Amino acid sequence: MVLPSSGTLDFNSIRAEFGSPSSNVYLSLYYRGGPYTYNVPANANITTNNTGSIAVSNFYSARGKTDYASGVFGYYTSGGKIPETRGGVGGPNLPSMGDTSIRTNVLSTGFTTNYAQQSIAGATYVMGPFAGGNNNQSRTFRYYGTNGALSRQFTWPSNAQTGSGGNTSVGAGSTTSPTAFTVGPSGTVISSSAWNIGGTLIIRGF
Amino acid sequence: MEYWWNFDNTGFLMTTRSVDLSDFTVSISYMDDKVRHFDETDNQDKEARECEITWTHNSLSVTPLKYYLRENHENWESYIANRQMEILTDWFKELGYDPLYYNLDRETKTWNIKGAVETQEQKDKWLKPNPGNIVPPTTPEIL
Repeated sequence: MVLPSSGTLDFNSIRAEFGSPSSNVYLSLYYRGGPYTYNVPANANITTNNTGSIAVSNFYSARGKTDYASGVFGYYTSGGKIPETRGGVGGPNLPSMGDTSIRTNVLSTGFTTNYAQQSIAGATYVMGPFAGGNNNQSRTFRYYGTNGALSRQFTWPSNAQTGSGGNTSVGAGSTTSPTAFTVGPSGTVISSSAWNIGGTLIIRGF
Repeated sequence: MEYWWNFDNTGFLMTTRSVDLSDFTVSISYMDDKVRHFDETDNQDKEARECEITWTHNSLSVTPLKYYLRENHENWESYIANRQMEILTDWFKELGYDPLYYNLDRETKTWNIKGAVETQEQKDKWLKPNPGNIVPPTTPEIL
């Protein structure tokens, strides 16, 4: 949910939507890209720490962190001639998702896993956990860099499998797999190198 | 709190092995003025009460800490859980410890020192890092 787009907007409404540890409302807490406000297009009207003074009027239609997850996307390789590689967040030998609080009606409480792995056995993409009985069919996920730019985007196919309450794991070549990024590197989503970001991504699901 | 003894070049140094912060109370009070938000489920501007949530430790002398959020916020649980993590970290620092050297067990709300050797398996590996029973012996082939 978001702040209203018009009408009276007071300091306490901003604090109550974004959360605050302080009884005094400091708008400086809520600079875009700061600890309480992701640098995403929905918050484009909020100034960043470097771009000027912040005002209550910046916050019309602004979103807190409610609708997003965030994590440092890392990379792992086992080494050797035919290494097992893994890129993303939340998998073995990868960083954990820092903010798991993304909200869609298909993800279980807490979005913890988003990585691709490749080995001699093949390539897989793992994401979730998806709530049991719900599906991620035709659902788009967007990944923003900390500079607010859309870094990656892909859409699950219309015949994607239904969530089982756990992570969804799909193999390369499967008709239920997401294929190419619509924004991002060329090639398949199921590639550990495609998720070798080496930095933080902010994730939104639709 | 549980203590153990480490030995270094300067003598014996007492180190805290674990710090249990679980004995605290969380209370909620409501602010006087209503706050506004936009509910995307029915596309309506709505008003709600703003909550002041206070964490107070029952046995340790640490500062009570607060958080402000509106009631029925859709992410109430995760926001409160995140704030509680911050508070447990702030209290730990206020008590004079460095979180860099400890891990927080979210279930028990206890800070445990990293690298503690506790189980018999860990003790055995500590005493003898490469014991003979890890890799079973094999008979070499005769060329």
